[in-house]
Amino acid sequence: MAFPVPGSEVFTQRGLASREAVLAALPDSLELHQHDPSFDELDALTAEVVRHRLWATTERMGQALNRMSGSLVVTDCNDIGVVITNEIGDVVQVGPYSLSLATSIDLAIRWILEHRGPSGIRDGDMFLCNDPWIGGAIHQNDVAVIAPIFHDGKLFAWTASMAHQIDLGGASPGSWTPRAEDVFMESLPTPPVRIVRNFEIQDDVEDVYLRRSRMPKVVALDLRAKIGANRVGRERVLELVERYGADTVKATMARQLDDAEAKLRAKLALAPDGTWTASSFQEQSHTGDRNLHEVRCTLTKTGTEMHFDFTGTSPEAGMINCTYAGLHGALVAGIIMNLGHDIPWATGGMWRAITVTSEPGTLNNADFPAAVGKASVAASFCTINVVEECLSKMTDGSEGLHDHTTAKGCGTWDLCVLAGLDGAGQPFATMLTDAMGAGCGAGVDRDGTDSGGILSIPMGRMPDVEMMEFSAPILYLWRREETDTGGAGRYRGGVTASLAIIPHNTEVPMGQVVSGSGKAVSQNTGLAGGYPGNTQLDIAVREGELARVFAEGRIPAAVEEMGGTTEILSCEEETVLGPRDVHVMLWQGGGGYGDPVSRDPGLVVHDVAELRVSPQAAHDIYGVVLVDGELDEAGTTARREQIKNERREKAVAAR
Amino acid sequence: MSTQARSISSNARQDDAGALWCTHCQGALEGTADDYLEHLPAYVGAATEGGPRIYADASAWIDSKVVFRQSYCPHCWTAFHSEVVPA
Repeated sequence: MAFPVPGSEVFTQRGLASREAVLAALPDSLELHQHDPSFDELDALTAEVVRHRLWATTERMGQALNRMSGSLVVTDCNDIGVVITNEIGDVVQVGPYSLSLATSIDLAIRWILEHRGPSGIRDGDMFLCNDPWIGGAIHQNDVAVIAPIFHDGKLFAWTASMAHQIDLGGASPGSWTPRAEDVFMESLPTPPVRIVRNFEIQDDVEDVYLRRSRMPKVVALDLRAKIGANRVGRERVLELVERYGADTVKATMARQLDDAEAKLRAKLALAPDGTWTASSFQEQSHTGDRNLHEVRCTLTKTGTEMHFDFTGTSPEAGMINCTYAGLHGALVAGIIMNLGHDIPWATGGMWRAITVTSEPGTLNNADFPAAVGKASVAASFCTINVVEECLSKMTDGSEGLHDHTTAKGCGTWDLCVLAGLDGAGQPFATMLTDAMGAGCGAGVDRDGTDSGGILSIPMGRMPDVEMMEFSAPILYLWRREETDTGGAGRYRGGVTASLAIIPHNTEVPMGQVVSGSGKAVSQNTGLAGGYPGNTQLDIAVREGELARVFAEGRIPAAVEEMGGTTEILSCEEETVLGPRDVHVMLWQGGGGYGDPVSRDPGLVVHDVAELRVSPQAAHDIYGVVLVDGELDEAGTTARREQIKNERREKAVAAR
Repeated sequence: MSTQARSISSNARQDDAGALWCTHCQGALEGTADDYLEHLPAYVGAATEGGPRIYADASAWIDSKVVFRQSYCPHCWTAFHSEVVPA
């Protein structure tokens, strides 16, 4: 049970302060370099060159972070964020990594300006922050390092680098605590602290930071990777200033913000005014819970503005909550995903066309000290889901934006954290991040991409199996795409995959945290009559007979071939993976678009041949009849007529 | 049916007088652009009718019942909406 904590209000950001409010709170000693609206020397060609350099700089920052890190979550999965902002934290360029994480940085920079400004913000400072109530972090595992960039003694811009840290303490390995009742049972949230001063890491602050982790050496390396990425960002921005002049670079940033706003508004002008709603669910807020929790969104689009109203969202519960920062980042991430492919990823400009209603104390606007350890893939992910669904319903009714319409892809995360001792007695902790290769939703004229990824992390990657086996004492029995996991539709959702792992070269039981929703209710919703994708599933096979199966020269390809006893795992639990146990996980595919009965039968025949759709589903749902793998046209016509007759009979009976 | 029709989804269109019809069969639909889905004939069945990989037993995790719900054009019986949701 979480009780209010007097004094915690100062750490809670619920909305982006205006430029005027930011400036009013700054001390005179901190001088800002601001855009001069009268500056008229920016030609279009230079603006494009500078704009693309800023874009490229975020990619270089991501590469720098990736190459310096020693954590597979970073190096193999790209669960990171990088960003460049103007002097007050308005996001000018988001890197192509975790969008919801990176786009919440504006809240953190506003907080730093207000609360660290009076004690001085100086060239060579960097601030570390993993406080989800402040921003720059959706849950405590997200740690941001935020660096001011000065030019001629004036605060010119900011860069920030973020990454998921494999363990930052708390009650459970991986800092993922399914039994958490409040944040005090989880990793400690740290408001912005000066981890770097005058370009030097502050040892005392670093000690406080690393002391909480079960994997301090990996976390220490990631800290240096983020500092390095920020230095890349700083150097590139200052090179631009040197070459083109500070006023030109700042005017380009201002244009970038204006363009993002103008292009978003131009798209909204193509859509009809109206109201659209969507819900996304989380099962089980914590170990032992048997309830369903809802994030609800109503989008009202009027003219060239959007209002997102989350009224009706369930009260905060267990450890699946997110703070306002999780809502804030998720909302603009959803907009980038649906409408932003040809708009500058400058969310500081997009926000000018967006307003939000959200009630404090609810699932995606949690009060301190609610548990938020799963926020990024729970309430924040649900927020992306409902924003995407509302936007796609809007664009589905817009001839000018129809091709932006997409059914939901994988709407959740299947997590497995393993920790223990390897065969050499050395400690390890790892997270299976294979669910990064989830199925994508179908579009209005195309199937969803099979194992295409999670769209809110455009550069997210499925890890290399060999690297996963190298980094932890495990072996994969399989990792493969699964038939019938893509939602049926005129255009099919992308299929997804499963894996099975066993402990290897260790006889010591491993601690295991299993966490993932979407097991009872689909979050990968279909659209326009399309079906949802599969539900997620985690299975433990206890005391399997793998040694016998291997001795027979076989590798099991199904749970039924493993012997032992089978256990369906809950959405939130801590357990143990024994030396002869097997862990099996199936994550989500994408939703379908349109009525599956209208799908080109030839495509269904191809899907069956490629094992994406089973012959049974082809017959039952798509109404396609195959004879010896070939299309039976007359049989298909009759079967589809039969399906429609059955609908008529069933629906009438259901009235 | 006016020629000044606008799309309100890939399954429905509306003329400037507010009349709605099915994109696939041109049959008239009831309601408004905001609520026409609620006026369609609907079917509610077992969650597993939403696909072969929908897990059958929601009670493994939650107390709520989960169902497959589908709504149709009342003329050509094209599916306009399909979902697996709490009952």
